[in-house]
Amino acid sequence: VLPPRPGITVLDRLVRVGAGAYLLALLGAVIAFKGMFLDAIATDPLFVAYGIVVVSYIMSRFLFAAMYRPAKDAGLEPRVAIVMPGFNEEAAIAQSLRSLLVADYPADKLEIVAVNDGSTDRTLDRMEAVAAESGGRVRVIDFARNQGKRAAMAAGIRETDAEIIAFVDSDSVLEPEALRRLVQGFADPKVGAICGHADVLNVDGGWLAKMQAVRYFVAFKVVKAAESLFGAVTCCSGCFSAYRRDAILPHLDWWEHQRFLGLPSTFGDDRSLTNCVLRTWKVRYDSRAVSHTIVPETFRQFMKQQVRWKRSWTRESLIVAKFIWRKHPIAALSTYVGMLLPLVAPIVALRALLWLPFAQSGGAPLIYLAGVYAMAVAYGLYYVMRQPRYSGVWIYGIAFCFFYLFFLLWQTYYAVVTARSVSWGTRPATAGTEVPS
Amino acid sequence: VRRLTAKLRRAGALLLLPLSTIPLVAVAPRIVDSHANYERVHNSGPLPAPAVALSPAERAGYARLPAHPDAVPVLAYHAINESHRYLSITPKEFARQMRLLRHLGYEAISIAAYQRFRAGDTAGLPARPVLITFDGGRLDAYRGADRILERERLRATMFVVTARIERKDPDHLTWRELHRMADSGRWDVQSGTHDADREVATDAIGGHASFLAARRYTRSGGKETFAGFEQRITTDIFAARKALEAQGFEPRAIAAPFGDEGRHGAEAARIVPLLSGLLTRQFGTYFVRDEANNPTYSHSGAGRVSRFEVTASVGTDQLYAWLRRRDPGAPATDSPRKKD
Repeated sequence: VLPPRPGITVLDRLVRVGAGAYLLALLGAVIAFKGMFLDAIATDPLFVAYGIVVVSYIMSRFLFAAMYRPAKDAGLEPRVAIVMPGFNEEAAIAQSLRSLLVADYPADKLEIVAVNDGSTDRTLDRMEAVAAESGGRVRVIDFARNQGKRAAMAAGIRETDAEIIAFVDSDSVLEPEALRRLVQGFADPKVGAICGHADVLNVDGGWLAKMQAVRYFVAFKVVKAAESLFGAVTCCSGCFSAYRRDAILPHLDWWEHQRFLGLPSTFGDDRSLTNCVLRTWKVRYDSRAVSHTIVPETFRQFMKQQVRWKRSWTRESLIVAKFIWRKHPIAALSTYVGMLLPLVAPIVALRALLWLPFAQSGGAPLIYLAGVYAMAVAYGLYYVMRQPRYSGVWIYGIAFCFFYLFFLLWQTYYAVVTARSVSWGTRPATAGTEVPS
Repeated sequence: VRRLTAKLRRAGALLLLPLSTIPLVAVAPRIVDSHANYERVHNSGPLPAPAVALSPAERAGYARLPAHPDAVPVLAYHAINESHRYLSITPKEFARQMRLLRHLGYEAISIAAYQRFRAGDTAGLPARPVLITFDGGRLDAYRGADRILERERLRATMFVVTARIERKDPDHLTWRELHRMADSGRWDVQSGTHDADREVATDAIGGHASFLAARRYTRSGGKETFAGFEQRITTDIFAARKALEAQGFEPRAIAAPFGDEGRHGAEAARIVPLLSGLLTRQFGTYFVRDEANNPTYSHSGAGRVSRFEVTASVGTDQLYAWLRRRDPGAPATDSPRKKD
């Protein structure tokens, strides 16, 4: 199931060094460029400040990511329960559960709770088949009717008394050593949750998947790593994460029945649960605990997923904004900036691409696009730098930045306005809506 | 074959790394351009005046000259920068020369006062008048000179090439800046022609001359007729006058580009009267360059005036020597003055 480990040549190493040098030169050039126009802050304070904030934000992500180190192996082997909810997943669920059974972890310390969320296909049969062959290590909870992902996850959590609760999405596969690595971070008693790394499993599934491969890589290895440095990861990805039971139990009821503007919150369960924990605990990321996840391959699916993510981002940003200031000041500042930028970015893009060409001569649109391109190349180079074996996939990272500029950037406002929506887009709209309040 | 294609694909993938620099390199000139533009718009105010002082020896050597309210020396500057080109002067040198003028008791007059003087009206002229002029409407001249003029309580006249202003040439002053300058009371704005600050071909074998000072050669039309020549220069001078008036500046004087009035061309006998008549009729006074750059002080009278052109090699000594040599009260030290 997992991609084979690639063979690495001297050339690959040289390319990585070269990409690193290129990246440094590029970042230097961007700083020099910003320096050239620094005086403009007097005449155009808002937009120049925006530019400086964006560049500082990106640079600081790279800097913090470079300072990030995954948790050391502390020999920890706590009792872990992996909760895997499934809704109409008959094709993949058995394979996903089996990938958990082969995890390099003591059998008596690992239990797996599969929750069938009222599937109308044969998901339950598949779950029970794996349970039968697992020798009691897989337990199955069955909902007669669909109650939503949160209800399924909460039922799984209540079913077990394990110290650590891990979540693995039914479309994700773990590397055998991933779980053992993930829990090492709990050696720090202040850590309440740890987010694993997610790579794209279906990287050969077309241009959209390849774009997401680079995007995931950067989102995890740069953004989450930077957040982790301050113990303030704001979203433990549903692909693969682990929580201290003590950290989530006090919030479980609230989380299961979270409502936003009068409607139940049916998605964004991962970000929401992270927020519950982040309030009082540290939340880290572990780059060596790797899962591989399947990403949408069609434009429609992908756009729907992105709107959903942005809606939950909107909802949860309102929550995180209320307490993040009590965390490390750099983490707080980064989080607030990270909230502000997506809201301002469309205005700046419109101004640079449509307004400035009319308002003044000069290369405003071209230079703005060059800025986007430089950022895209920087992310791509980081991908090259950190991949053991060189592949041309990084070029899709550049394509992604422009894809983002032309398609995803504009979603933000739509998502903010429709943040109340309960529709999954990719699942039946009723899922979870009938949860009693 | 499969192995080979795999290798080729990998080589192609590797090529993406250097190729990715192309857009960045391609946009670099635009960024430099845009920065120049930006600097032009936001960083084009007057530069601080450099601190200068004449040494005691210099002050003693530069003795004050007799008053001469009936003659006005005219100085012609072009660029102020550190390029050390022929027609450029450094800010420091310019500051020294202005300090020298003040030390000698000179007072700079406006172009209006000069026009009255040319008309024979010397009433109200200071004891030691001087007219300071700049050719070309260059930004660096304004930026370098303005604070120095302010400090020495002097003023100057800027001759602008109006077509260049319309082209928004970044090295040259804009109308908005010229109005600000005029409003400061330190600057007068006059014409440096509309678009004649360039050379034209005069024959098929590479001969060329100043736009105003020779008949033009074109491949299609051959050498233009004198009528064509007159029409061409008339069009330009009318346009210059009109552009100046449109901005609310009263036309009082024009500076011929390169100081060239065609006196040295083969057809001087026909060109000079045509040009001279045109410039005198349209502007009253026109400034040219004296061949040896040793003009007499101009006295009142219509038409042509030659100026002392301050080039890179002119220092305070040379300026003082010229002022002294041409002083009406000083004994003539070289060739006798000719009447203008």
